[in-house]
Order: sequence, then C-alpha cells, then structure tokens
Amino acid sequence: MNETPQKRLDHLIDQALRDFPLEPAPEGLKEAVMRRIGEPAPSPRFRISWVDLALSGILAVIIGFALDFLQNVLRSPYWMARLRVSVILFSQDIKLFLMHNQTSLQAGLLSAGTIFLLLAVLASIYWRYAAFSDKLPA
Amino acid sequence: MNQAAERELVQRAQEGDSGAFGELVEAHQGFAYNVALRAVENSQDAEDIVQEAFVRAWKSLAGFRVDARFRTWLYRIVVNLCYSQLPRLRREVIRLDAPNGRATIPDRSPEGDPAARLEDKQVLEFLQEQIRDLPSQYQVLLLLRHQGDCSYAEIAEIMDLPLGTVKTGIHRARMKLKEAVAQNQEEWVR
Repeated sequence: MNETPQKRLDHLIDQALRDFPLEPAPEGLKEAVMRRIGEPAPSPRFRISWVDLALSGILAVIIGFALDFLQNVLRSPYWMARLRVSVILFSQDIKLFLMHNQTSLQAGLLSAGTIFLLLAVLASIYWRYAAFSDKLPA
Repeated sequence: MNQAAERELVQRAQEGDSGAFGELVEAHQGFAYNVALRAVENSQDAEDIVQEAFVRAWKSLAGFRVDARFRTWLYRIVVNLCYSQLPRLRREVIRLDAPNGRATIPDRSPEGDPAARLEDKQVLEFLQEQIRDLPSQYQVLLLLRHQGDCSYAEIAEIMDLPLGTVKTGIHRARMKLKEAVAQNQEEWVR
C-alpha cells in the first residue's frame, strides 16, 4: 500500500510514541503505599518555605521603619504635642460618633456577626462533605 | 484492567477493603510513575509523588463517584502534586496555548520528505531520542494520549487545562518531532 510521505512520517511518529519505553514502577512502591494507608494519619510537617522567609523579612523591615519613625516622633516636643492633640480629637470623635450612632452601630455589628456565623456554618458543611469529594483538587 | 473490574475494585476499596485498593495500586502504579517522572524528571521525586497520590486517593476514596474513571481521578491527583512540586511546570503547561512564534513546517514534497529515504528503524530510533528530549509538558501530554490512550477531554481533566490547549499542545509536540526529522534530513541522506 502506497502512502504519502507525510502520512508515513505521521505513522512513524505514532509508532515511536506508542512504543516509547516506559520505566518500571520502583520496587516496593505498592508496599510503601499499603504501609502508609494502614498507618494513622501523621500530623502535618512543619516546613519553612522561601515565602515565609521573604514575608518575615518584609515585615521586619516595616516594623523597623515604624519603630524608628515612632522614636523620632517621641523625641520631638512639637510632634509629641501634635500627637496628643490628635489622640484627644480622635477619641472625642469616636465618643461623638458612638453617641449619635449607637443603635445603627449595634444593628450593624449584629448583622455582621450573623453573616459571619452563617458563612462559618456553610464553610464547615462544605469542608466536611466536599473535602472527600473527587471534585476537590488534591 | 477493564472498567467493570476497576469499578468493582473501587467499590470494594470504598467499603474499606485495602486489598482491593492494593490491586488498584498494582494496576496503576507503573503508568502513574511514568506520568510523574516525565513531569518532574527525577525518579525519587516521582516515586514520592506517586506514593503520596495513592495515599491521598485512599483517604478521599469515600467521596469518589463510582461512575467516574478512577484513572482520570488518580492521574489528576498525580499531576496536581507535580504542579505543587514544580510550579514552573504549571506555567509551562498554561503557556502551551500561547501563540507560537516558530512556524517551521517540514517540507511536504515527496523529495523533501526525510522519512521516505530512510529505514523505518532509523527514523524510529531518532524519534524516540527526540521524544526523550522534548520539554516535560509535551512529554506528559504525549504519554497520556499515546500510551495511556486517554481522550483529549480526559487529558484536559487530568491536567486541568482547556480542551483547546490540550489539542494545541499535542499538535505542537508532534510538529516539533516532524521539525526535528526535517532538520536531520540532510545529515541522514549524506
């Protein structure tokens, strides 16, 4: 049977892909799996990755800058006076706000609490049932 | 293993029969190991990944739908673990869909066809070397398609990719093999 060169190459590629040698599974793999599924689940290992180190570094730099800034502010009488005034004004603002909006604030907190509780219940149900579903990526 | 037998084993394993699960491990460990090996290119990592995949499969087996294919589900766990181990692989797989700048197509004329002038054995050996040298994302796609006999849809599910990306990836991998044959044509006929 005559076939075009392209088809012949396609067939050769198919054959090469089909016959490409597969590595045998390592010895003892099944036994290791069976041993592990027979054991109680171990607690997750504590491991530090580079992200943890990078985040810690960034956080340390930010805290360092904040402390340095605060030290400079605390040494300067002018900034200390301004800070005191700001704190007093801010606390007054909060008191005024609470006086005028007590009812709506309570209602808001109650609603937020209810929504949070509802979400927590839904999340709990999801993880309890969906965690064992094959739809959840491993 | 046929699908009915596999389904029965899965059902028994879901009821807690670890012996049945052992048979599933026996049946799939070889191919699962090769998928992981092509992806991470390290035998120890591949072994760890496959072991972990089976353990996770066992733990999640209760929620597995029996009408689904066990191998698709298992290989998906394997591929997910490979992605976690090698985030670069996921990026490369996603990039399969990106437009390819290279458009080298082998000569379509009979005179220009390298395979026409050579022994099949020589071309096959060359092709297998080229398959070994392909980037891992292509190797995984080709392995699933040609040695796992997975459909495009099944591969898309296993690798968590759009169907089009899978088709493009496999097409591109085959084109790479054709290009390699074309580039070596001169050397062979000399």
